Amino acid sequence: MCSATRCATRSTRGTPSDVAAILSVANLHVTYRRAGAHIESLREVSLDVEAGECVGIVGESGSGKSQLCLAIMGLLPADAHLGGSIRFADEQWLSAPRERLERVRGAKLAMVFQDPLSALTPHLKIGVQMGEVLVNHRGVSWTVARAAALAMLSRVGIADPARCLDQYPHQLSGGMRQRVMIGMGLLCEPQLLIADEPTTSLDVSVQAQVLDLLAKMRRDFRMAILLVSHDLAVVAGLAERIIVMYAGRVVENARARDLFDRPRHPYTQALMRCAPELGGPLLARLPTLPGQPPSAGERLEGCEFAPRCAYATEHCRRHRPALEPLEDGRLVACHAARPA
Amino acid sequence: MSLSPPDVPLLEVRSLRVEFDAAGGFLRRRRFVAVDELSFSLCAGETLGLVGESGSGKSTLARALLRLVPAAAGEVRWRGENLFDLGRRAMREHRRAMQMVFQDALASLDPRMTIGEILAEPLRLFEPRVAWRERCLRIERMIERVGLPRSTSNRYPHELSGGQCQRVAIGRAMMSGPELLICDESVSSLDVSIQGQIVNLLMDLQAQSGMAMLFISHNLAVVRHLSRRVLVMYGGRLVETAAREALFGAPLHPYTRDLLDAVPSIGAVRSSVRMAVGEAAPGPSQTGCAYRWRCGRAAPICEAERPRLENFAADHQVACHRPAVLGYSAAMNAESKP
Repeated sequence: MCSATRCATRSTRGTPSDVAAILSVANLHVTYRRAGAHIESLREVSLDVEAGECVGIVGESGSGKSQLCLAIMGLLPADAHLGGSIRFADEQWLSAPRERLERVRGAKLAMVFQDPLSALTPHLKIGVQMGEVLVNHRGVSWTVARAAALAMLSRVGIADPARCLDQYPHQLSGGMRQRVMIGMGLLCEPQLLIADEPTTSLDVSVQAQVLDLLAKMRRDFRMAILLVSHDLAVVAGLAERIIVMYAGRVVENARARDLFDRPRHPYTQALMRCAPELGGPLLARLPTLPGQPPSAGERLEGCEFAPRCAYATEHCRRHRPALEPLEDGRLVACHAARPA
Repeated sequence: MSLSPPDVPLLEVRSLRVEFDAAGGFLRRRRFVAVDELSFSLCAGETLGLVGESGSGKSTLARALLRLVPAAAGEVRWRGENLFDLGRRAMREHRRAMQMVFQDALASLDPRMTIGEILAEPLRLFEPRVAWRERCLRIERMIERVGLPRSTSNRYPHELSGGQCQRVAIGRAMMSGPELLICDESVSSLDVSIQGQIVNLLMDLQAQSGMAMLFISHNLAVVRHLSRRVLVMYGGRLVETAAREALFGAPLHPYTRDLLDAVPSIGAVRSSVRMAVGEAAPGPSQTGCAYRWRCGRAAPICEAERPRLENFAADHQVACHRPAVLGYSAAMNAESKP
């Protein structure tokens, strides 16, 4: 489905440790050709997810978070041009044939989308949609699949699972739909669950429940989670490592504690400063990040963040900083973060 | 703007009730009560925050204030005058002073109009006699006031980013010089970096014009930042109203506490005990307290009798039989002088 320009060279960068990475993305590029222009949605993205690890991906809209998820799932539109490599469970994922992708997707690799109402099929009952996953991937009978779906619904905290099986998506509340989505993703006990803004359309109270559920399911199934959000606070409770994206690139990749203790990239610093906290001081004005992220077709010679960065120098505007390790092992793409 | 004596509030809502027909669906021929027995007042220049989960009736309340949905009972008094007694034309005159900014800015702007035309609409409606030159000048000034580049005037909504669209929507609302601006989740769909810009813009505009604001949001941190007083809604009713410091520092209603506890934070690792999983319908129940299904403090009286909104302290009201009076653990009263 993706016409891929493949290069199997694996960069050694972007991998803080090389133990049992279940997902390994190296130098990934995603480009679209729209109206004669080249639009790069992902540039030189490298990251590893270890088995059982929870990695958070944070960035504002247009930073390429969802593109990355879709690329990993093999669900990008047909006109996307991909370069680089994605390895999942020791398999070259970009060059895998479509049938292979379809077999693994849903079984070892599952995704939870932001809007569960549009991700669920409106005219099928929950029982049928969930059962289908097992019937297709495991080849079990419908009776067995239904029983497994019932058990899963009670595991994800649906109060009346038997009733829920016979309901349609529109009859459920937003929080219940997201629980169903998560349960459906977990039916085949995947090794990696990609959750793309799983709580963005939910209330704070329901959001807290869904985040708790993800944490519990991760323990129960020993799976890795790639948790995507525009909100640092959402990933803070769950992720061990956080990757910050800006304009299609990874700008910082650090252990969660290090990142929150001392963000090193100016963009990460701005993100942390801008989000008002309940316990924080009351200021006359909220701190802001001036300017806009570069538009999709724009290509800058230097650092993409330079136009909005308080520390930007002429050097930053001319030369793009590479994503390189600092003394504590984290990766940062910034000239100012590194002593000259 | 100083037409009314200080003791008459700008807006006074008394026992407002809004119902919808739930007929036709699986809930056969029943009335759904979206807002019930709701009373509050808003003074000129004040900012009132309104929080609550989706389905709690926040947006319905906002629409009922502007008579965009009909109310079943109660009164909405604007400078002492009941809006529900007004005819259509008189109501339109009043809307000039009461403007609204919606969550989805792009959807609230006409895609076939340029930004200049969009900003001209309120002038065309409310001040049709204003000369063309004057109109252009005022549009230009507004574009500048909301922090957009001058060239925006000739562009179309789809050419702008989400934050810029929201600036246009705010500009349009400000064109008629409102005395009350209702912001219904106006920053909720924006990125954090842009969210702060819009909140600051709203605060600047308020400081310049002296208008009052009703700021509806599920983002408690933003509400805390903007509002002097906060209303908490649950199941169509007010469950707590208090000054900002009291509400965030010493909340009384178990729902308010649960709501504050549920907010994710970068700093602290939250305790994982939160609201019960129960998916009780958030609609108002016929008897008893609507929150009792999910409340950790529920007792038999909560089922038997509906708690009324009562004064607990000066400017702190709560509708709960068993308010959580003991000190609130989190130190949320941190305040620094601007």
